[in-house]
Amino acid sequence: MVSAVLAVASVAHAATIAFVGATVHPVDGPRLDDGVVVVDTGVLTAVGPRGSVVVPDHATVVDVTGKHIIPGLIDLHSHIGGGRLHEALDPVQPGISAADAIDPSHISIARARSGGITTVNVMPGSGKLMGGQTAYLSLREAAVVDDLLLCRDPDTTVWSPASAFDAATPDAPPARHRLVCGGVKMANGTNPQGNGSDPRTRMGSAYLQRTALMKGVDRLEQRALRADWEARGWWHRWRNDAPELPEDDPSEAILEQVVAGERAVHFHSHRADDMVTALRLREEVGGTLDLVLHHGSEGFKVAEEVAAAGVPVAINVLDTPGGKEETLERRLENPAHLVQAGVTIAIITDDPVQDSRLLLRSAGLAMRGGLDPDAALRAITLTPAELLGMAGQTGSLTPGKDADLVVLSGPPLSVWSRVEQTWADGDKVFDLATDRLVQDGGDAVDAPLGGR
Amino acid sequence: MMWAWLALSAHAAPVAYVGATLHPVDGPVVEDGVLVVEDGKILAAGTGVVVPAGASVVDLSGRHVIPGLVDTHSHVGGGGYNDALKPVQPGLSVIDTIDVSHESVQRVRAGGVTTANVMPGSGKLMGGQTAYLKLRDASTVDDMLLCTPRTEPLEVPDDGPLRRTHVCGGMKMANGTNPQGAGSDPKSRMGAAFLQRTALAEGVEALADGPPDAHDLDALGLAEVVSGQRTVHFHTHRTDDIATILQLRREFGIDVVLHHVSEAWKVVDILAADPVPCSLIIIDAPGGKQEAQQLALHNGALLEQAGVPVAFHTDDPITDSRLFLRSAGLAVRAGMSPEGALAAVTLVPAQMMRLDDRIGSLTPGKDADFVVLSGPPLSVWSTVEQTYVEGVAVFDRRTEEGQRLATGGAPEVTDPDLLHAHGGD
Repeated sequence: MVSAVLAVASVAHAATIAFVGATVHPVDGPRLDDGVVVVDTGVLTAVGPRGSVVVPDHATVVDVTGKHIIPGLIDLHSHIGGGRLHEALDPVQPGISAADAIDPSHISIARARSGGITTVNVMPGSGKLMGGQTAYLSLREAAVVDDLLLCRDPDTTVWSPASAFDAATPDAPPARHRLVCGGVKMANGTNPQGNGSDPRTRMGSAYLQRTALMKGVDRLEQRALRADWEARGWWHRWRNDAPELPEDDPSEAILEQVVAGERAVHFHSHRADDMVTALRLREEVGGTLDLVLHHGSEGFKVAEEVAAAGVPVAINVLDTPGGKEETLERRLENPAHLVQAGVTIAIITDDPVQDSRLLLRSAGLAMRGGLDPDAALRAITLTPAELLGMAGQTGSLTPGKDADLVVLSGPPLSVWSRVEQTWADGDKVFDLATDRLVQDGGDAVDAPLGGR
Repeated sequence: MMWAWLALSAHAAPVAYVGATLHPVDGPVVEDGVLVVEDGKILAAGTGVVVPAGASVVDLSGRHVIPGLVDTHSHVGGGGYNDALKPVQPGLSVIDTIDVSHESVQRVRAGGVTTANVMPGSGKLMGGQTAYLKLRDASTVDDMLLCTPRTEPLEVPDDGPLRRTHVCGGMKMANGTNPQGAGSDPKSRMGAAFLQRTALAEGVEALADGPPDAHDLDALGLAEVVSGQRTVHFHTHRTDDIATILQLRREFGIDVVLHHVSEAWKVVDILAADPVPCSLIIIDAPGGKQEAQQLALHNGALLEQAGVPVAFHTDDPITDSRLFLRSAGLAVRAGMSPEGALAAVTLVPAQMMRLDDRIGSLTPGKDADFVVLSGPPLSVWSTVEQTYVEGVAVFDRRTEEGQRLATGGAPEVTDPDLLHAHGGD
């Protein structure tokens, strides 16, 4: 085993690699007991049973017999990166972005990789009704956040690093708020209440959130009106009456993206009534909100309503309810109950509420609470990829997708299994043989610096 | 989300409740009556009623049956009801703050209440929109709302979310000491009246330019008020504050229900001149604050004699919803007619909420909301045995849960499922 690990270490940047002999869990297809996974320059080129996959002659073959390979994990709710993610400029602050608070060299990012996480949604906190923009990150090796941050033009579905957009048009790089590089964080319940200019009640919270969303609706309607006048050639009217749409106002531009459904809303909500309030807000802006409920601790109480609305829930599975009153009714059976009612679920860490290194354990606990094992694995891979709009690029071991994968010592949901290697976008970003302390250690452990 | 309760209230066979003394409220008391319920509605009530073929029969001999109680002023649902965004905040709605799974909602049913107006608090001049709730079994507040379509000039096509197309409650306003003194609140009664008058005038002015932008939540709330489509439930105690409201009512033509009206006995003639509905609170221990010290038990009797519509309310948690019938009993003790007192917790409050076409009396065609009592309605010895909403028993004292709700104290964790939710067995 030691020699095999060393062999892998020496091929960290090889162009073509074939992982041979592992139990492969593609997630979008049946498990392969003696599988082969071929990676070529950062992209999965073949996944199948031994014998049916042609391993290219020039490939470096890595024997992973006895191991398990799963897709890189996707954490839909995290606060890694060492930044302070609670700003308090205003109860509703859509112009703020978590991307400006992330330190790629922070130990929390290395730890997430050691837990098998390759894609993550880093969010502002839940202390504000709309805390700001979230940041979708690929946990590839990078020194600056712009190389981690995944963005797309609002009109397209292809995600590329923010730095690639800047490099494409170096003379006039796009304003960040014109791109979609994350969702927007919203919250209700007790967290965003009671400080400074915050509301004191749930009704005040909903009022301020509704008012903000309506501002986005107004912009959409005004834009449609202008387009209509343009199409009809009503230039006189256009010049005199066309409403102003300040394109360089990041806050308003973000609100417009949100109500248009171009930018997902990640909505912190624990209690059943708060979840239903979020559904009500979505319905009132026309049902276009790309809404994901987060936590959903009392989801089991309103499972039918959530299912009927077709809104997914990203659940953090804790074995110790409590901490605050809203979560007292949290239960391990919640994920299974919601799935049974027809709700799409993801499982999240909310790191540091839960340690990123134990995301697989959360999925295991959901299984203990009745969730089907395949569904549990999907809830931390392909489903969150779909909810991020990234299923074309990651979330399953599918040829053509990015080489985001995890080599495990044993079955994915076993408490005995360890993450041995994590590969993000074709880079090996964690290796148990050299970085064991990152996976096991406490706060005093420094992040490894390059040299891999 | 409306389909959920429609499905719940759909019953196959009619049910006949026989042998009880019926108090229809809109007609004379009937001994040994028959009440027939079908599909959540009252099919028949009275004597000589033919029990339909196929009906199941429930014997209620010795019992009394009254309409489900209607509480015009409640704060159940466990929510925060005093926000402080601004002194006048017509865009807020308690719909967003009610937790229907809160135990206070269960307890209301143990008191025989089947419809409640849940209100924001009185800490602001205009605290926000209230919610008219039918206390059916439901997992979301949306499935409990009693709504009326908006009418001209605020009519909108009936294809959007409820709150865009309907009015599902009133508007809470308050004067006197409660909405004074904090933060940006006024410091005086003249400041309070000025801000209220200004807001209502803004509503009138905006409406003159056509229906307001539906995205402007405050403007829309005000427009509903000044066009008379949203009833103002106005917290007030003292005579001078009452007079201020009557002046606002004359100036703006708003539909007003006065709430508490502790000093009503001093100004009965004024209240009766152009009768303004009064929803009274009855507590046997006045006090707590200066404004309420002259609260009198005979307010109800005096207003009844003067021809003013009178209702009582709980203001839960100020008085316990489970003792709502006792409020009516105390009013009788102070001189009100028993018939008037029972109407004051059923039909008259339904009229104040403009819901009397479907609730408030045991009238064929109305919702089958009724309460089975062990004895006469206003006796201190009588207990609520069952509460029915739209034909469904939402409270039953014979069950262990019912016993606990009827007699228990603060909510406690008793759900074994909850206690052992993480035991893994």
